[in-house]
Amino acid sequence: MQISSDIIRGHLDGIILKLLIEKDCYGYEIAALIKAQSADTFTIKEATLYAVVQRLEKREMITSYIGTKSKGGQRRYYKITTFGKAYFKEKLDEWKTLKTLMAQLMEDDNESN
Amino acid sequence: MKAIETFVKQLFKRKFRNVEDDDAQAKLIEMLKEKVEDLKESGLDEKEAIHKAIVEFGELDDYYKPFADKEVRRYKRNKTIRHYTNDLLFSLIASALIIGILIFVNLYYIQPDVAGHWFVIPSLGILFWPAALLYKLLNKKGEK
Repeated sequence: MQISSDIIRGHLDGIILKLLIEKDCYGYEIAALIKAQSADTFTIKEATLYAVVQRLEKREMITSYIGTKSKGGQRRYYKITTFGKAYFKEKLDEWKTLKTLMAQLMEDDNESN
Repeated sequence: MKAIETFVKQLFKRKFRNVEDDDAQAKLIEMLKEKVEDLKESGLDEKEAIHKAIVEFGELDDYYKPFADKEVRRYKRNKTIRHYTNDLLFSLIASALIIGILIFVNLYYIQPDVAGHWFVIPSLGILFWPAALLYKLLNKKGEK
């Protein structure tokens, strides 16, 4: 089943920050990783992704530096900041709350029954 | 690689411009070029790689969607701040002029030895004008 990008858009910040907590990535690497991890359920529009990355940088949640790829040319790598990590934690809590709420609202026989 | 630059510049041409676009445009070109490099490393020739990068990019609308509202809000906010700054500057100059006149009148017409330094009281009143504008400006700047 394909997930519409409208639903996921609000969570892109969190998804990208999560990747950057694990390691520094360059723009296309982020897109490729998300594509690989989500298999066929969701294809992120690269245009959207790059916009979110730029926005995160503008809001100082990530910073960038020019680095060299293990084999290959130079890339602009993005690195999460302390502020970014704090924001991610907030986003994660928000997501957990939302997940519980949606389960309560949309699924039949939940725990309360 | 020229193709990537042309592609991105064409995209931005169709949108309303703002100052930050130049930076965004340069970053976008860089990201797409990196992607082309990656694709080339994985075996595609340059032409195919550029084509793939452009096709997979999508529309500029997708690029702007995540922060369309925020962009508009920020633009408006910056405009208001500019206005308030001008207002403040105007009020400061005008207050200085008026206070200057008061001091002049105090010194040469209704003199201190007769009436004391009375200009202080109306001057304090006048200074509320720039103070109020400063308050508004700082409030606006403090908003997110």
